[in-house]
Amino acid sequence: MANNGENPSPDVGGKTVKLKADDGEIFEVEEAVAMELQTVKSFFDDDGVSYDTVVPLLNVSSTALAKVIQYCRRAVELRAKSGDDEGANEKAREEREGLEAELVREESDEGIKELILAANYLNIKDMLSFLCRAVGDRIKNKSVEYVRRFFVLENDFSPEEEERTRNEVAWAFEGVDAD
Amino acid sequence: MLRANELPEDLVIQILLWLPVVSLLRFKSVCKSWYALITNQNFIAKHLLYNKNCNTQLLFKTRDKSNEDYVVSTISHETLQVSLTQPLPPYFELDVDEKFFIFVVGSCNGLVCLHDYLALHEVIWNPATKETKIVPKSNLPRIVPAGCYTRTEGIGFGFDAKTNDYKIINFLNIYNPRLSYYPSKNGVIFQIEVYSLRADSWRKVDGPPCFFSNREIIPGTYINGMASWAAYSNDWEESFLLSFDMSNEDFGRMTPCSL
Repeated sequence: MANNGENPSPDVGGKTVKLKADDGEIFEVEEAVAMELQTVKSFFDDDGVSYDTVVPLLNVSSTALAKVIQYCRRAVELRAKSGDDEGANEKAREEREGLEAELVREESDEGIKELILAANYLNIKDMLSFLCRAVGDRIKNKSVEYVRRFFVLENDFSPEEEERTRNEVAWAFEGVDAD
Repeated sequence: MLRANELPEDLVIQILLWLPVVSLLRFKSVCKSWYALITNQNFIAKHLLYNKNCNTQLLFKTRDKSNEDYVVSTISHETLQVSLTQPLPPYFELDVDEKFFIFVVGSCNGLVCLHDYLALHEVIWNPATKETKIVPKSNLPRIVPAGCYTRTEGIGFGFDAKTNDYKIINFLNIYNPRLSYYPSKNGVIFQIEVYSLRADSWRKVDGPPCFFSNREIIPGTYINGMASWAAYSNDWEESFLLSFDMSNEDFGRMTPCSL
């Protein structure tokens, strides 16, 4: 079976689920991890769908899926660690934040958008939330031009309209990061 | 038609909800659909909800040592850390000494209400967007004895969730300048007026006879749709908590339990 070379084979002690990315690559994942992806969970919630069925994830690239699986695997481990102990919870929370930061740190703008679309399609709430926050942090001090490029948006204002809109809040354009 | 790696609107909104106001104001210029998105009332309400700080902070006005100008800041109850310092809005083109007479009535949903003690009117200010609204003076009739004036004794600012309206309540007493102090009778609340931002006008309301203080303007404490003041009955016999419900415009009395 195909497997992303960076991730070690899962210890197939429990049940596993097979996920297929848009290029046909198959990922075998522990059930608990696969169920983090609500889309996958819903797929199996339907009556009569056997766990042997390969889940086709047509809108997710293998690169993105590999990262999603890696994140969810760690997230499930961390959740198992936290319990009633306040100290352990705190530590688990810090580790999760570290995990999130690590995921976005090296990611290009294109990569992070791909991850957001994947997390949205696969319906992973926590992942989508921190990815949106990370993009927010990335763009908040940027210029209008940067944001247009990032989101692939056309400026449909006339020069006069744009000038007027900018002048409404001229002070908001101070201290913006250089492109 | 979405191109590859173009984010759909609902995801764009989720990202925008994390942005500070200053960034959102700037990004109104990105394109027309973003302008519409950011100025949409539902989005603004959602953004407010997402950003409501769980830690209540105290808002106060003070003087900035470095430039001697007056500023408004927040201070956290827990950490005593001062943050979000801003100079008073430019509407107040007053001498620094005149700015002494501006005070904070209260704040809610990110809006701050300021009272100008000299010019005798209020200003509603959004420090995040820097917008200000000068509240028109009340033109309600105030019938006072000859030689007397009305003065604000108590004041409050709050939000009426039912009508999505911001209101200011002004408790007026009669001031007789010939007397150097207020005997309790002169200090009694003589008229209560409520301003609605939606209507942009003042209205009279009836309230229980009482007074707050003879010496200074008492700002109400506002929380969850109600503003409250420590009040006294006319004969000084009773002290109680007077509350005003911003939606129903009802007054309530609560006797504090003895400690």
